[in-house]
Amino acid sequence: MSDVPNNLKYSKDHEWVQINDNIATVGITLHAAESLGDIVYVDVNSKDKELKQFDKFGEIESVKAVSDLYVPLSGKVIDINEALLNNPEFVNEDCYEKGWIIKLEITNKSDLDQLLDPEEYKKII
Amino acid sequence: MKKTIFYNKHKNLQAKLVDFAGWEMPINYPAGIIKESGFVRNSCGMFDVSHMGRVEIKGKYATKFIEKILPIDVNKIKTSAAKYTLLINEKKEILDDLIVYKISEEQYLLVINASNTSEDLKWITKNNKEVEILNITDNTGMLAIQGPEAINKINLLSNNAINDLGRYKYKDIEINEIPIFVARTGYTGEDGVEIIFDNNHAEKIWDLLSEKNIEPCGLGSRDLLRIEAGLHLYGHEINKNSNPIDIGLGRVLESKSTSYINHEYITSYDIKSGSQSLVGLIINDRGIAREGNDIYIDDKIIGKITSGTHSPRIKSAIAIGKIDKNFNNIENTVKIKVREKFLEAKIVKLPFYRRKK
Repeated sequence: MSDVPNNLKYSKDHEWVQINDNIATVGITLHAAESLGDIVYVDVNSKDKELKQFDKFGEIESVKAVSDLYVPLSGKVIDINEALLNNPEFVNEDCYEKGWIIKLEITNKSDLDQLLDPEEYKKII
Repeated sequence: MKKTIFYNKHKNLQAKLVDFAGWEMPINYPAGIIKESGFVRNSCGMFDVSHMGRVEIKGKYATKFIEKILPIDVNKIKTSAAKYTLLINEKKEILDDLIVYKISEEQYLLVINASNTSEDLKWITKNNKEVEILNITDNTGMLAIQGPEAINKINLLSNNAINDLGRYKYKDIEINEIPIFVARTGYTGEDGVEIIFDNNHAEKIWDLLSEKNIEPCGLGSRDLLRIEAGLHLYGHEINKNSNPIDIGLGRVLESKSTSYINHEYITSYDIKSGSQSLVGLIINDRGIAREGNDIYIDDKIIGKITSGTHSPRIKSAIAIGKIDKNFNNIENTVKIKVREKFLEAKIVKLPFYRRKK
């Protein structure tokens, strides 16, 4: 069973989100990273953009396949993990810390109701 | 789904298993595709290729039969030698690419693609009046052991039995008193061997190889390695209607025999006038071009991607494409449409990777 940290919320598309006041840090789960295999590209083209919950914010590509990335919450993309863009293998090595992808300024806290808690997420993987 | 004799090994090693041509095969082990490709480039890896078809052709007229169905020159292939060739039907359709091993004048072994095994057998059988055709796929196992240390490791296990084994030659040897067919062939661009043995010995052989630190590698890394080495894969670079010259395989059409089913075709003008060529592409932008993506120069589509991956050796995405011959200029810059965006790429000569000799 993949690691599902207790302090995070999850989307059905296998993104995780960590909330700190009105800032959300977003990445993909270990389950997603393991399914994709060796990640070779992470592309985010949404810097400074206002996105609605579940809008596409970028793409993640492994040797095997490419997947779209979706924001788990509505908000503005205020930061991108630049180190990750140059070292996409961080997602495979450490998806919950070094492998974070973007930070969002949350615009609608009630979006959280649409997300899964760790126990719920474990049931769908 | 069919399982190879190594299925339990893959399970125990926590391989990710996928459906490949009706077989449940490891795409990668926990090490992952990129690391596994590195084992083969830097030391030694082994692949379960037991899903590939193994067919024996036996009988007094075996050589005559081979001369009839394959475009090889049967006068040139020596006993104990192997040859890469194509299986082409009387409608000029390529049914498969394969390796033929000459055991003796009266016996040959064909190693064919898993995805084509039943079609190949159907066509071969239809054309047979003179030989015995024996499908030994289900009674035997097959492993590819590849990498710069492969020969040395097999020598260590076999009392130097393959010290004198040349490229594209095979030999019957013993490892721990187990009889093994060893051919110095492969599909990775590295030196190495492919071995065939009775199912009863399969697990023991796997264990002996593992003890020599030969790392298990899945089909994902096998695909990456063969793309780097510019090797064709049936269904991608080779299709039913491919012109062998277009895809760079004119050299295999060596038969001059009038007994060959396609004698007229392979000596005709038709087959000499290809309009396309296979090229290598190194992607300058971020992203992998994949099979089916269109290749553009300006606004004009000049071809399609046949295979694509990311190469840790080249440190960028690479692809093989089939393009209009007129645009096959090395260093030409093209654009590849990948989903909604265009990736810039440079045409290069294949292969991307050549091993140091």
